[in-house]
Amino acid sequence: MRDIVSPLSGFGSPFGQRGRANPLAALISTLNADAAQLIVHPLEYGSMFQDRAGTTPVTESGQLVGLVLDHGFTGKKPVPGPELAPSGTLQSNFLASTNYTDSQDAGAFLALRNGTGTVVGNTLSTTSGGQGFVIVLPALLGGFRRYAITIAYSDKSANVEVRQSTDGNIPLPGASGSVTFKARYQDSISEAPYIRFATAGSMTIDNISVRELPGFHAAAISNPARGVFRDVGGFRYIEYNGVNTAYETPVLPAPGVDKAQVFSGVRKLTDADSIVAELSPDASANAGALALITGSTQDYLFRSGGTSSVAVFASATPAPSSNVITGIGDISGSLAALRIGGAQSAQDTTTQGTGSYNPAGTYPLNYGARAGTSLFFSGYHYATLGPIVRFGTNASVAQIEAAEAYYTARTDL
Amino acid sequence: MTTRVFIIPAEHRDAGNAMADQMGWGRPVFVHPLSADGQEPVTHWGFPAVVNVEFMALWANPPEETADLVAAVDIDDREGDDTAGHWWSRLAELGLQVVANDEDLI
Repeated sequence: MRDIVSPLSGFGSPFGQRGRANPLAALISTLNADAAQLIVHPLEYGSMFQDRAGTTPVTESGQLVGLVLDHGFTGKKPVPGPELAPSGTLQSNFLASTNYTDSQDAGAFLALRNGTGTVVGNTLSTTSGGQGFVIVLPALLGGFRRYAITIAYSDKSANVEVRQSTDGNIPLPGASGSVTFKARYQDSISEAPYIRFATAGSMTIDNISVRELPGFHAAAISNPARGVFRDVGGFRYIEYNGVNTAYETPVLPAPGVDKAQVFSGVRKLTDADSIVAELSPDASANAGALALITGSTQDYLFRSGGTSSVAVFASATPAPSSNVITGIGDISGSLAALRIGGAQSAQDTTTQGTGSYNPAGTYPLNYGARAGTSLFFSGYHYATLGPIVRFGTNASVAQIEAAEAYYTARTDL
Repeated sequence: MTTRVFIIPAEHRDAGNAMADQMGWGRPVFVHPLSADGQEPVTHWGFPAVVNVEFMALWANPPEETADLVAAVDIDDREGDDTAGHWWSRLAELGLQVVANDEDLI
């Protein structure tokens, strides 16, 4: 009997072939064993996109990277979250205007994209081709998000398709049926997906399902801020140019814990002060933040803090040098520690005050710069766009060693 | 690939960032303050980028409303993808230095 191999597996998939252990999935499973909040942006084909909107995949070394999907939730491809548009919501909230704005409505609704069209009950209709109905979810705008949208339809008398920006069209076949497609929102409803009538006619919407594909996907701060992906000599890394390469996740929810670890494989090309990764716009100033830093006077620093902040530092080797770095923070346990090359290099037991990390759920995670505007990192980050960040319990020795082994195997030491 | 270094006089920085945002380039792109001696006052702002032929064509024929702003930007092109190398050598050619920040890391 032949094995059935999913088209999602094999070459080009971050999850490898069926039946073959995947190191990243295994690592995520290990780190997630106690339901930690995990942020992982793997430099895997299928997870990287050249543009910030997530339209054009990265297919080879040397391409710019605008977006990397987060796999921290499950260690697998993102799975849809709860239903965001209960049956009938979108149709009943029809806005017969093209003059909608990003802040116009807090709920989900359909709106005219251009021209004329009507919604009566659950039936969309147009009197000419080229009209569209935008699926708008204003409350969910801001930061890159991905959705699985399923449209169930019947009594279709026109050529209808779903499309997003210039991504191409997905036709709705037959008079009735159901189509599921991936959609994305970035900063504006101009990026929203829409139902387009290529010809005049009507169609009844039986249901529109909108479910988020969760994850804190990291996008370049701007187009010029994109780094170059390299896949050279068996090592995959992002080049941070030390001038303006920088990435940022959306705001992360409060993890409700005061223990965190960061795992990293880096090559620094200069010894200038710079941010490898930082939770919040400035870990020096914000309570409940952490940061992994390269410094001109100390080779690496790890900052952790509750209501007060501690920076622990350790010398490795001057630039250029490659290292596997682990930062360990425990606010109530008054511990900030740095491990370099799999061994503890330094620790500081000064009090970090009280509280938890990202206490109000208002901090993004930044890679390569402070808030995208200063302290730019010059070097490479291997295997992942930035460090794997884990909020949870204190990591076990086995968890720390598993993460360090992962980066050791993928960092050109 | 082609890298391009953009330098804009300080008084045009806000307009330059707004134009970049309208182009879909995202958050403020002119991130580096510059002056002849690396000290205040800041006289220019700049950044490097990889640009494609479509962008270069647009830049060569900008919409009328942005023509004056585009004309105020100093640009320099180089083949390759070494944005950092291009950036630093261009600053040297122009006699400009980055005005150091005083960020507190420790």
